Amino acid sequence: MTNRWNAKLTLFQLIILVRHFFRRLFLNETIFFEEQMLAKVISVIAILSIFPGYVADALLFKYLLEPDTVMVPAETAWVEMFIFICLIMLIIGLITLFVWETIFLDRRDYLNFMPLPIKGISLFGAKFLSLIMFVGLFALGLNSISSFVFAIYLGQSRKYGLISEVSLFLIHLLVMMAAAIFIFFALACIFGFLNFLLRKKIFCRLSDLLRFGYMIATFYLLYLFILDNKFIKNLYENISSLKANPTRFIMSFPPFWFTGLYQVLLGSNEAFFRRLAFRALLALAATIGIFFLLTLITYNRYSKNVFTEETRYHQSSFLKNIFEIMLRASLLRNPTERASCWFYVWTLTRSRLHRTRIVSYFVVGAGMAIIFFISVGSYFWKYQSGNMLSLPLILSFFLLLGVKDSINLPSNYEANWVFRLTENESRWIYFKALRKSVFIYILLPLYALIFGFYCLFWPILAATLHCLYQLAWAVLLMEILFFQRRKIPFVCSYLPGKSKLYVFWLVYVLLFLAYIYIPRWLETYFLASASRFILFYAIFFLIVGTVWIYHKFHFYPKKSLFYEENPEPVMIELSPSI
Amino acid sequence: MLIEDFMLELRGVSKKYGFLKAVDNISFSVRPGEAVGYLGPNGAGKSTTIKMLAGLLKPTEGEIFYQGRNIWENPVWFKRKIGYVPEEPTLYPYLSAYEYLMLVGRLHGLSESVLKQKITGFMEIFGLASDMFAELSSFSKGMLQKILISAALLHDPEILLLDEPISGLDISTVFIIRELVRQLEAEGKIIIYSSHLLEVVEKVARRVIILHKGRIWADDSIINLRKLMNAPSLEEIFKQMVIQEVPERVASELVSLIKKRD
Repeated sequence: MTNRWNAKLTLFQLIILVRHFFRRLFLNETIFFEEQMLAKVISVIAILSIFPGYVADALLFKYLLEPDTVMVPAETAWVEMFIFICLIMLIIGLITLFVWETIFLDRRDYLNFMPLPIKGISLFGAKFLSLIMFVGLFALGLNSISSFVFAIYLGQSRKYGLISEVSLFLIHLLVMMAAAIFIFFALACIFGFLNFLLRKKIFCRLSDLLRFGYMIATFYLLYLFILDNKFIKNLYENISSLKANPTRFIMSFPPFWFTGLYQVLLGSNEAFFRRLAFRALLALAATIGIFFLLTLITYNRYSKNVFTEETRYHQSSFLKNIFEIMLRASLLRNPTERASCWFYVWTLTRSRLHRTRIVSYFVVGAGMAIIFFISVGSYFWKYQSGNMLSLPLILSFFLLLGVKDSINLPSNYEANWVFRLTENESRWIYFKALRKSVFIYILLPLYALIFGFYCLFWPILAATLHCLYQLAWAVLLMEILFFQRRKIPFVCSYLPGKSKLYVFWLVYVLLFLAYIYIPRWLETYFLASASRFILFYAIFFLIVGTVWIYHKFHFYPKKSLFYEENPEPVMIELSPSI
Repeated sequence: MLIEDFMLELRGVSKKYGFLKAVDNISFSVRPGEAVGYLGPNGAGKSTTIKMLAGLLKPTEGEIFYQGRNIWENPVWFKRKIGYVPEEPTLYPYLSAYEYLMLVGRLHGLSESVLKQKITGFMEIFGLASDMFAELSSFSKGMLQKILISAALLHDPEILLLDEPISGLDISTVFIIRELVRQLEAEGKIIIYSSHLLEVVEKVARRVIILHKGRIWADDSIINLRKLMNAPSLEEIFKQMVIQEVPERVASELVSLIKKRD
């Protein structure tokens, strides 16, 4: 075999591997775009591009209105650039979190590729290229609208020609790409360090926590970008003044480095920007270098332990056993109900895909709840504050929506024959178990935490009554979401796009608004006296009882269960239970 | 009551996947206390038939009866009577063996105490007691197969549908399963044993059904087939009926293909 043939083979392997690794970034435990991958990726990027486009327009609009010499963008627009770079880095950071388990080669990769005649350099090179492609794709996609906005608005104020417009466009894309690559590999390095230092189990827990924290912070900041004009205004004034007296903070905050790079590429000769630009380039090189170093270290580690994997054991602890015995004797007496209930709970707690799905929803709720909590302002210790009352409703809404979405995803669809073979005549039991498991393992812990939170600000009695009242509303919402459900959770096949968010988004928005406002309006009435509180609970039990009776005696005896998703109907029924 | 009243019976059953007819108009019946070997090459339609019998696939044409009742009209009733060991051990990887068997047993409505005794017993017999609480993701194929067999037997079914039940099992477990099938047959169970392994089928079943290209090519006792085909073993019968290519020629074709270079 000639050297040329070898080189050809290496190149061919590299292409195959790049494609493989790129694909795996969209097929992991957090996101799983198995079907119609290309269409889904394009639609995600298209959706993501709208928001930066809108922010760019809002930030730069003044330069379009006043393209005079008073405002020279190369000097003044750097503040907007900084804000915009912050936003792009936040979004890319968020995207990174969804794929960060697949950034480094994992055990499966080593198991599959180590026995094959592939050079190490091809393997690592392909992984790196696939990551660059991934970040590049998202960076370009995110800035597909904003690049035009920057080029047109800033070019207009400078009275630039077409060539200058194009160069502005390219500079914007280049800087955004650099910023995106930096944040991506910086987070990858954090992941790599933790993975290297910690044991797998601890690492997985911490990884989830970090992801959760970062997501909440990001959503909170994104809300600020959209909702809080004051925040942006304050940011403007403070940042502008920082340039005159650059502090250590400004020199060590990454978005500033890339703002400097932007300005230098636009032609600024200021020492302040040149220093920042130098740091940007240095940081970019450093993160990529550290990434390669970590890859080598993890390679060493994996190549030693590739054929052994830590076995996870699930033996119930003493307390858990007691709890299960109590449940068996009280709420879960029927064996089928018990089986279903624990199957749902095990799937939710152990399947990363399902767990992450719920957490993603919850994070959006948590971010929104923080906004509500902060906007409570000086009244937040007072019971009358409306926003303070809505916090559990916001959290429970997103959590239940997450549960509803998550249970539609099958957990190893081919294993569902167990349910198909053991299907019981009283199909209601599966769904009663679903309600009970969500109530016991999701709503109760959530409301216990919320109760603790309220106790910090309110008297215990007020906190108790408030939590009991809102828990009942959460149960009612659960009844709406699971109404006439005919698919056993995690068992039915899943057709992406079947939730038809493009059709039902308005229904969900209206449901959300009704859910967070109506109960809080009624709360002051129902909690005014003991008799009204009892009346509320009587109405609540009547509604839930009626729904349960309807399902048990009327709906499920007549309807069979679904194990395979039905094809798209000609007419779409406007029911939230679909 | 006649013995026919307790039979499992397929009448003109077919299954189509688009234009492909995986199973084509097959009819046979199995009596209680009878173990039937279900044989055929890859793609003959064995697993499809087993899946239809288990109620996982609905026949495109024809009907399946058990004790005179159409199983598709009484699916829940029928499914209570069967134990099914699928061809592929697809289980929930994040459950432990114990949890998985508890799940299956509870879904069958077994009481907690009986279930625990049965699971512990099965695990001890199959040598999995120490791995009972380990996650199924760490199990080998043989271990998963033992879990599947245990799950199929937990509720003492009347009909056992075994689709390649011993694949991946160690030899001592194979002997146990072979003997188990014999004893369950003697207990009056209906057993349909689908496999590629002719020597195993020969030992567990007195009657065989040979399936080829979705159709039944033979349905008789092994003794009768031997006489009829003038063949000393089931392997020879199978060769004469189903294998059209000469294995030696096919093997040498494969060897030359392997050796092929630019």
